[in-house]
Amino acid sequence: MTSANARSVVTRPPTYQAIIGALQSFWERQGCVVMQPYHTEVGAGTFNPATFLRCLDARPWRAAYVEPSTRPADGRYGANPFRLGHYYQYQVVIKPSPPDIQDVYLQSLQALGIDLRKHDIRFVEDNWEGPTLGAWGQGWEVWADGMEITQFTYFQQLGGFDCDPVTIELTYGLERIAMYLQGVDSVYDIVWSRWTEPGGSERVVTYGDVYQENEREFSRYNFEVSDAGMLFRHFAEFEAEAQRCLDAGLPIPAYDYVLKCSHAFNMLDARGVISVTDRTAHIASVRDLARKVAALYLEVVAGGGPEDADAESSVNSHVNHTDDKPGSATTAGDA
Amino acid sequence: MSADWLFEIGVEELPYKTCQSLLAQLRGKGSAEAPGLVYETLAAERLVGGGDGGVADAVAFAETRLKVMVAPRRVAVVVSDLPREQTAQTQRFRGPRVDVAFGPDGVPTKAGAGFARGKGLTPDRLQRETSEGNEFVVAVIEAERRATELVLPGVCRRLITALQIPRGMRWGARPAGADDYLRFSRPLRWLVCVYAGRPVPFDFYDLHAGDVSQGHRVLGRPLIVDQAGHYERHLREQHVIVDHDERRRLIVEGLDAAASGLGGRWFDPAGVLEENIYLAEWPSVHSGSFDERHLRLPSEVLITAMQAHQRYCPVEDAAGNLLPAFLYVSNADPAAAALITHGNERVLEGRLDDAEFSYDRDLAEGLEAMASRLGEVVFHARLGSLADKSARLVAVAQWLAGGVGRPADAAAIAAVGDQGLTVRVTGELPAAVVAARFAKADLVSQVVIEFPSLQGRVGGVYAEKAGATPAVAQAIAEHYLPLSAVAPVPASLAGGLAAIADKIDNMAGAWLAGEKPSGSRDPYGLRRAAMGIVRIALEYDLKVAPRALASAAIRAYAEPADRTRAVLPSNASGADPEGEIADFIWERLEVLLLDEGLPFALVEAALGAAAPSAASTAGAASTPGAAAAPAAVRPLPVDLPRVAALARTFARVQDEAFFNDVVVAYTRPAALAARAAAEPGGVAVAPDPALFVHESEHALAAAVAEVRDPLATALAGGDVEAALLAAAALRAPIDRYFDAVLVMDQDPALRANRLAQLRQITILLGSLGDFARLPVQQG
Repeated sequence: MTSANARSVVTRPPTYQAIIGALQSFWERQGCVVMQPYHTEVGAGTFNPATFLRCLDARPWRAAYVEPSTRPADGRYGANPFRLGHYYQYQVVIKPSPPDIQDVYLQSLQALGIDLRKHDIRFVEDNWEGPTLGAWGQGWEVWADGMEITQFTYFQQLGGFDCDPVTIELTYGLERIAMYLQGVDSVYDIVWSRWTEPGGSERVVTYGDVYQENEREFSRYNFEVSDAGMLFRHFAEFEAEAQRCLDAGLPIPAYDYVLKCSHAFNMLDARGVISVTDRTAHIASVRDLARKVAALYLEVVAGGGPEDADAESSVNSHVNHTDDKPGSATTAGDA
Repeated sequence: MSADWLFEIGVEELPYKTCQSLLAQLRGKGSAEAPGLVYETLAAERLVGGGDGGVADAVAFAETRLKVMVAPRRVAVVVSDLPREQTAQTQRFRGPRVDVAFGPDGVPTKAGAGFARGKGLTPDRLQRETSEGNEFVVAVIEAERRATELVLPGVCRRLITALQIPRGMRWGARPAGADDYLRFSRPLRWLVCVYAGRPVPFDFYDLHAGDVSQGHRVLGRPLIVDQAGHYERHLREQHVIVDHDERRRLIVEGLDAAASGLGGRWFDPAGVLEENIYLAEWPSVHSGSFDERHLRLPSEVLITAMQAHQRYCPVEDAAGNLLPAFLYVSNADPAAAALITHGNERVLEGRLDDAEFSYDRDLAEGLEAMASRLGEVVFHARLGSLADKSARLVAVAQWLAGGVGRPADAAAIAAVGDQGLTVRVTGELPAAVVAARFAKADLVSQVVIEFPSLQGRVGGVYAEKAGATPAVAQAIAEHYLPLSAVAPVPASLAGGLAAIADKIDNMAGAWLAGEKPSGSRDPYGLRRAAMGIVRIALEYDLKVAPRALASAAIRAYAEPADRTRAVLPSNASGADPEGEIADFIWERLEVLLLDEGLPFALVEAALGAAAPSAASTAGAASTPGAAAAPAAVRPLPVDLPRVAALARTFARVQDEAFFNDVVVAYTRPAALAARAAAEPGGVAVAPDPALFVHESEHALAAAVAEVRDPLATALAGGDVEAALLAAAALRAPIDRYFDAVLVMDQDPALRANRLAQLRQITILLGSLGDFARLPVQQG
């Protein structure tokens, strides 16, 4: 390989998988538990129990992971260059939020090859609410040259409980960052991977190669084909099963069924079979379950909840703790 | 001796509205009533103010000694000439009587010694004063004068905690040793307190105040502030312009220069300039461009795509045509602009591509098809769907147009009630009805879902594309106007009528659903809506009586055109929603007239024309004939333009003799007419001439008969001055009457008849206003 070639390789923007790899190793160096995606469909990395459950209690926690975000109603049959029914977020949660978190975040952009002195990086007010999780927080969307690349949120409540200590959540939009770094105008043109054949010819696999057909098929399935009757039935069954788990004192399995409820609801919504009043009722029942899960998790698993900051060792100690945190039912204004 | 002080609160990027709010709170208005938190806090610690010059001092302080500066990552207070210690303060405490405090031998008693000790004095230092013949001991104490650097930490802590943060947040872990989290708009990260060229260290939660500040996030470094007077310069060296006014000036200059470089003019309908001031610490303005092919989008869509999320300013040429360009404010090194511009251009291209995709889908569907989907969208959980609302808007618009129009218009207004969007209509009145039917259709369009602020305007574009007449399209586009108390009202009558229908429907709905505004709670912006109704009615001289309008809107809820869609909320708030809504609208008219500078008493008097006074209604209920009274003596439903004309005319002629004549002619009878209520036998609608005793009673009756028609005619024609002149003719006969007649006669029949005559006059003149609310000048 000539030195000229070597240079051209070095200055090429990172592939999609290299971006993920860079973030994984960056946050690993920051002491995060590098988790894998959850096995159940979620709309955002916040739903992963590594965020929703783990950020409820008082124990310190650092985690980072890729999360596939499944949003059936956002599918566009693979025809829109910006919208996808299934895409990836890179999620980082740190509890308590460190004082230098903005600087650390900026370092992570440098780790992706972004020269901060040549770009315009901004923190622009954007507060977050998750009505189905009874959750909200304050923070920013981060702009790079006018493009929103990350959501930055200080959680204030989860499941209706005040967060204490407060978790910082960073959610990178991986496709947006890849488009930005690679200078492509369609998500399907993102270079996912690249390698050189033994003969010297270069092979490129794009995001479109990997996912465009999926987008076509799932858009058609979600919007036109899915069995609404089955989904309604599933919603009711999952809801009942979540309640059974709660009754059995098992918040983590219960939460799995909350996620399944949420996904069934999203599928029904995409199918266009939920009226507006139904919508409100379904969201309310998911939120209600999420609140109960949060309460039970604090009671059973975290062994005390936010009041008990030294509960590090009591993960499985089944301490019964009645924690009547205020505010659990007072977030209606944020929903 | 004095020195300058700097206090800087370092914070993660603040929301721009918080920046504006913190600035206003700290700086106040530079007046005695609103001296601002900085002044108040320093004054409480005797570092400013004192003496008797409080008012002048607060004003002078704000003008010459205080500078509050807010940037995205910092709030800074600089005060010049702060004294080195607290100002002197003498306190006097009166103790017991001298003969109680000291024995006859001059030796302090237990009481005297105790009082002195309690004030930190020895008994020999007690002074004496005489009050009401008794001599008391007095402790005169000079308050401790603490050094300023010892006082400032408390001042700084108080400044932070006294700031009102509407939705404060928490961060990190609960601070060690603190009962609760510190809450602020965004996390606090550093504090700088420098006085007289030295740091004033103190702790506040987890922070340690000192002299180290932070420069620009990327282009700057941490810095030491050695003097308050050097603060701005030191920060500038680290690429931060801390003074928001300077940033505003720089950005405006940059926008001007960049726009003229493009041969155009920048504009900013969404007001993103104020946001940009608080989004950059080192602002520079640059221009980017987008593909000309996007210019086929309606300009509203292009402008919103540039402004709503991206905070760019659009540029237009001299003829007002949009250029395929935008201006943006960067917080980065201006030398890096080429790459940054490219990035911004790509983002905008993506947004415009998306908008075009949505726009084409909307055009393919068409506004009529969108209207057919409105049944799927809930307007309000208890008030039905948008299809229900559209039907109500048609009914209210027809009622309004019918009231405004001539009898000849009635057929055209009725005929278009169920017509399609493209029906050929002539005239603004039927156009308003068609517009009402399709006004809400764009709420299900892709473009409005993406850019909600374009509601209405997008509907107007789609109506025009679909082949609606221009009047219909314009009315749809304008029916959300006015957007504020000072923003323009619809430019067409049809738009005005559709706008009134929409606003009164929202108000009626809120009342019926039990969600009427109360106190500062007005989630649906109904005060603004009511003001819109008032302003449109005045602009187009629409003879709209608020109560009748409210009734029409409520009727549309109760008796919808399609009975299967009847919306009958059960928990209506208030027993008399029509009356409450009418009052709510009248209150807005009052605000509007007072804002014009009209005297309060005259506005009240004019509003009295709409609310019959106690005098004119007294005893009416007990009178069987009241309901059947002749129209000419019953108060007519009073409309908004009438009352506005009354108030404005009163203000113009208030010093004329004839105006005072009217006031006297009203108030003398009104004062007695109120007693009609006390008559056991009731009081008739009109006096019976057979019971007149004095000639002056006959003369007064004749004068009333003579005045009645010219007054009513002038009023109906909108000539308030002529109506007042006609009414003034009653003054002389009324004066003569009261000279000759004792109204409250012993004979009940005579008394009731006289009260009937007086009440008749009160009602007649009451159509001009309630002049009892005015001070009377005899003369």
